[in-house]
Amino acid sequence: MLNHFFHFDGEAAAKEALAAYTIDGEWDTSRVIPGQRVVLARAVWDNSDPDNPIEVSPEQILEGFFVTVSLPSIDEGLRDLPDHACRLIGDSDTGELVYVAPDLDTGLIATAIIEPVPAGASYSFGS
Amino acid sequence: MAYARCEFVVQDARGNVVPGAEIRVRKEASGAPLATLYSDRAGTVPLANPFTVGTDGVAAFHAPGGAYRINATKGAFSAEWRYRAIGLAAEMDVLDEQLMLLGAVGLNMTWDSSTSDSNPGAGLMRANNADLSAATELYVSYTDRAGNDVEDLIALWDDSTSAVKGHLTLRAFLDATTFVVFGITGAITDATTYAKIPVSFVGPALTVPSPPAAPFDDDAYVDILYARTGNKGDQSVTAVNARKILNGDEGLAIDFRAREAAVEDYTETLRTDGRPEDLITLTRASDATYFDREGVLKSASSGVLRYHYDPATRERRSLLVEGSAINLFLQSRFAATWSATRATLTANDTTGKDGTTGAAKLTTDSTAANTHGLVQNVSITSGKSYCKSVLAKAGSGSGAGRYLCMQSDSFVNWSGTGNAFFDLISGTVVSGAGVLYSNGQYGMLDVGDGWYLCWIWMTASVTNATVLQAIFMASTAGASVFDGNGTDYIYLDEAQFEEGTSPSSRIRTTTATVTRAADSLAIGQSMFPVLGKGDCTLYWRGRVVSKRSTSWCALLDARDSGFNERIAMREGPSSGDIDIYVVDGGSTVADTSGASVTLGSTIAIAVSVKANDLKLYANGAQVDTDGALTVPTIDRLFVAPTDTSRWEIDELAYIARALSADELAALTTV
Repeated sequence: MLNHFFHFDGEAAAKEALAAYTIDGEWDTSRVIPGQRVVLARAVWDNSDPDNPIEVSPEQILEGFFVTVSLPSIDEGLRDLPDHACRLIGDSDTGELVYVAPDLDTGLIATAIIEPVPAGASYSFGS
Repeated sequence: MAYARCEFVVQDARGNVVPGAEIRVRKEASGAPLATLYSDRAGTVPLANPFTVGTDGVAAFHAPGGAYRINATKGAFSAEWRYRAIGLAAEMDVLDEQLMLLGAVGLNMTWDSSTSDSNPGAGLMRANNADLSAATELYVSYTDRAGNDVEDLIALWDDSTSAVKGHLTLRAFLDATTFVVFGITGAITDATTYAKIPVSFVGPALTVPSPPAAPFDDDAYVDILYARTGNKGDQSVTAVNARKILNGDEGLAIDFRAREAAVEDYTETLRTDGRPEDLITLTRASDATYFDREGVLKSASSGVLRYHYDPATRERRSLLVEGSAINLFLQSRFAATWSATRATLTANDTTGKDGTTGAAKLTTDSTAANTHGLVQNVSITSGKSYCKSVLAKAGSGSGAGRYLCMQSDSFVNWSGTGNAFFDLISGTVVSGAGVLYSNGQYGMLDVGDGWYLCWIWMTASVTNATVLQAIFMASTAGASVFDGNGTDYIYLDEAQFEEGTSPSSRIRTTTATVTRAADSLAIGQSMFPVLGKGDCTLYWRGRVVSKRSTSWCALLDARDSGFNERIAMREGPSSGDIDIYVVDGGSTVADTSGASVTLGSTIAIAVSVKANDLKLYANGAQVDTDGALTVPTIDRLFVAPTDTSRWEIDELAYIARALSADELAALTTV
């Protein structure tokens, strides 16, 4: 599967741009993962006392609405949506990135975690 | 190899013994070759041929079974015996319980004329109808007439992947003219002491013997001869069961249990038999797990249908379809991320349900009067329900090696808090405290090999990005706070934290949360001509295991591309409603409901639609009607579970005719 990963300001804008992947106004969850998160750093907790967990450092995430559309092949129309809305395309079978938006910080790719990822994927993006 | 013995006294015509006669034994075959003889039964000591008898005139030898020509000579004396039969069969009593049934695998039983579904008793068998031409099940004891255990033998009789697994010939003992033949039509049910064999009558016409329909008397000896059919090949599939659903009508039907699909279109002269995969396009952009026929947890690739089995009983459970789900727990196999609290976590310690050494071991430490377990933070949203589940197995077997405790948590994140204790030996939830337990918000399922799927669910009262979730050991039922001894342990695997009130199929995670995409079935897209004929009947049989948490989703959705023409058979979040939603020309023309769903129980639903006449039937009874509607023109079919929906589908069909009330009742009788 080729996982087309998008970044929009909000869900309404995402549904407008990706209307072909909705059914009756709702996301087609057989091939769309809506509401993903980009985690820059996980929170660190001290859970030695489960009744009194202590946050050592907070979680850091990117703002915005993130969504993946999984397709058997690359959709160039989706890839070339305005404003580089398509940020990445990853091949979940090989684990390789086959497209990276030209304005994307490559350092981010190496460190950020995108979740959730599709079951069975080779975690083609995110660490 | 043992050989039969031939022994006789050589005598002349007057009856005098002839000592020292020479005996020559030949086979009664072309060229009359000399036979191979032995002086012992085991065939280890060869005997010369010819050989000479002693002074007592006794001739004796052992030989392989067959017909022999024997000559005796001495001087002027000679004698010949032709076609002398020698063989072990002569040693067998014709009433011997081990009568050989050549050419088939056979059982020797006694007929019992009663028809109840219960253990017929050792050595007995019966049918569920005294008229064998109408019988649909045979009940056969696992002990045959001679007292042999035949369970393993009977278990082989449904191994063929063909719709008809094989044929059983029931024959009256020593009477080849009195017999009945059945086809084995499905999986044989293990009823502990006897087998329940689904059958369909094949023949004969039963004009003879008399009485025609019940040829075997009570207590009569009956032999069962079994002949297996070959596995179903890729070609020439005969959709016997699917065609039974169509019953001669135009339409398309799928029987997932038999794995058959059939299409009939008289207008287009299209008639196709095949497998469900031939008629269905599954869109699921991720892998998904299921239990296979050996009870092993397997992963199906994207787009592959999941035929799953009960992991404990290995019973076939038809087609599994689920909405999407996200496992919010990281490291579902406990490799890392989890914090062991007053306990030791050992990853990859024992064999899990997937057959690999990936399951973890959790051992209590020696801390007194405290909890011992694992914790991990998850993110929750106010108002949503969440299910926490894990595969667990007893370890050291007593005390904290026997019990598992799961609880919402002790903070203010949930509308009802509490806990549940799982006895991993008896397989029961034994006690608990608080709203969680008293509301029955827990469950436990035997998944075989000592493993249990244990779960609780609770509803979030706040939105919180870091809620601690724990899996605890317990020393006894109700005691998650106890004195650790440093040695008691249990096994854990496949932890899952997801939205909903029941656990879905396992979703494995490592360093990120993982989603399982929804199963979305498009049916018969290449068969559009058969659809869209106007009046029609939609049919669905299976089990709703978990319902959608909000609004409706389609068990079977017949529509056009734009939802302007639509007949949708839907299930929703309320307690037990099946809804029929009809749209024609963009306007809702009918919206009727009434069929109740009991989660996990088989339900058969059918709705017939024609102008001003909609009938909704469930489990053989009419549940609603609508007398004012127009008929939409549909051209495609979908099965589309969403979010927490989880279904097991046995059969579904589109029939291009509005069935009558009687036909609907018959079709939906469970």
